[in-house]
Amino acid sequence: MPVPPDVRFLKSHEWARKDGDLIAVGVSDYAIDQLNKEIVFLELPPVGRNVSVGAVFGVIEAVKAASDLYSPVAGKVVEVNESLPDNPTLLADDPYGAGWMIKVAPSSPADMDALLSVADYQKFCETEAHH
Amino acid sequence: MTDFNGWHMPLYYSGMTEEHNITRTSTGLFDLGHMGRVMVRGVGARSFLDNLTPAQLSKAKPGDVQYSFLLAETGCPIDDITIYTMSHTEYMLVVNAGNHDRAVAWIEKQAAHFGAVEIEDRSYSWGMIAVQGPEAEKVFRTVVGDSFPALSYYTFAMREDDGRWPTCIISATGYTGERGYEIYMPISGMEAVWTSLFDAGAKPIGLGARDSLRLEAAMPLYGHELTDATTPLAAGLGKFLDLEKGDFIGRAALLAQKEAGGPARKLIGFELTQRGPIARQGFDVCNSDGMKVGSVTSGIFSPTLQKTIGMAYIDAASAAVGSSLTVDIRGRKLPCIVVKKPFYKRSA
Repeated sequence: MPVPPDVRFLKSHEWARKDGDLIAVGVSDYAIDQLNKEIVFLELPPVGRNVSVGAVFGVIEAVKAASDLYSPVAGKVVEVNESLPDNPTLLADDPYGAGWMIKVAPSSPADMDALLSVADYQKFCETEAHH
Repeated sequence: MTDFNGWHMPLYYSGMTEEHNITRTSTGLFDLGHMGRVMVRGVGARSFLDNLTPAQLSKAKPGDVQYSFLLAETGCPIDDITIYTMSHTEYMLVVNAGNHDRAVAWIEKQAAHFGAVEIEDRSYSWGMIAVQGPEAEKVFRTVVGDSFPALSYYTFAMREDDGRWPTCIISATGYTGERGYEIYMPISGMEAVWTSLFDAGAKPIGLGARDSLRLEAAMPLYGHELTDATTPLAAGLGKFLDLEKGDFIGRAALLAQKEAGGPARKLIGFELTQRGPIARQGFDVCNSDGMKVGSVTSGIFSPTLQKTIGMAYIDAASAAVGSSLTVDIRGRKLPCIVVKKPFYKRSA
C-alpha cells in the first residue's frame, strides 16, 4: 500500500502526520495486516485527554488478540474519529486517510522529528517480518 | 497458517468473518484431517465401549453416531468424542487433534486390560472433510447424486468407491450449528472429495471461523468448556451420560457429584450488553457486588449476532438465565447478561 511521504511512525506501528496545526494519529497498514485485518473492537480516548509520547491512548482488538495503542506525540486530543469503532474496516481500507484515530494539539511539535520516516519504518517492518 | 496441535493449518483462507458468514448463508468446506480416527473391533468391542464411555451403546444401531466422552475415574473427560457404530463388533471413535496421543494411549491401555478388542489408529491413514451450511445439501447432492440415502441427524452410511470418490463413511454431523456432512476417507482419496465439493461451490473455511461457528452454536471445545477438571454434568451435557446402564469408567464420580447436589459451577452463555472488547478465556466474571463468581471459557465477537458473546463457568447461584453479571476485561468490569444457549439456531 502506498504511504504518504509525510507520515512518520513508531516501531509499535502507530503513525503521525501533520494536519494543519494538529497531528493526526493512526495505525499502519502493516499492523492491520498482522491482525489479519479482522478488527472487532476499537477503544479511543475522549476529546480532551492528554497524551504523551509512548503512553497508551487506546486499544485495538482483533480476533486473535488485543493490543494497546501508543501515542507517537504529546499533547491534547482535540478530535476523535467517532465513526471508526463502528466501521473498523476503514482501518484496512484507508489507514492513512479515513482510518485516522485521533487528532492531537501537540505540546511539542518537534516530537515528529524523533519518529521513523516511511523508508526507515518499512525497513523496520521487513526485519520484523523475518524474525 | 498456524500451528494447531502439531498440524500446520490455515487460520483463514479469505478472512475469518467472511468464511463464518459463508457457512451461515451458503456452504463451507472444512479440511479436518487433524481430527483423530480410531477403529475398535472385536467380539468384545461393544462391552469394551460400554465400560470405556458413558454412551448408550445398547441403543445404538449400525449407522448411528453418538456424542460421548472418554472419562477418567474422576468423571472428567480425557476427551470428548463421537462414536460411529459400524456393527456390534466394529466402531469408529473420532477424537480431538489436541488429545489424540493421550486419548489413543488411554484407549489402548484400557483395551489391553479388557481384552477381546483390537485398536487401529487410522488418524494418519484416513482423512476427514466436512461440508456445512444451508446450501450444503445441494452442493453435496450435486456431487454424490440422489442414490446416496437421506441421512437423519447423527446417522451415517458407507458410500462405495465409484471411481471418482473412494470408499467413504459419510455422516450427517458437524460442528457449526448448520446442516451438512462429515466425510471420512483414505488419505489418497481426500483430494478427489475436496476438489469435487469445491468445484460444486463449497468455500474453504479455516480454523478461525470453525471456532466462531461452534461457539455461536454453543458447542463445547476441549481445553475451553471441557477439561480434565470439570465433569460433563457441569458443562450441561448430562443427557449424554447413561448413568443407568451399569458401570463405566467415571460413573462413581458422576453419581457422587449428583448426590452432592450437582456441580458447584455451571457452564453458561453470556453476552455483553453493549459492543465491547472480546471476553477471552480466563477472564473473571463477577456478580453485581463485584465478587468473582466464575471465569470465561471462550469468547468472540459474534459475526451473526453482531454482539460480544462467550461461555463461562459460573457459581450455580449466579447462573440463571437473565442474571446481570460483569466480565473483567483488562481491569474494566463490563456488564453482561446470562443468556440461553445456543446463541445461534439455524432456521430450518
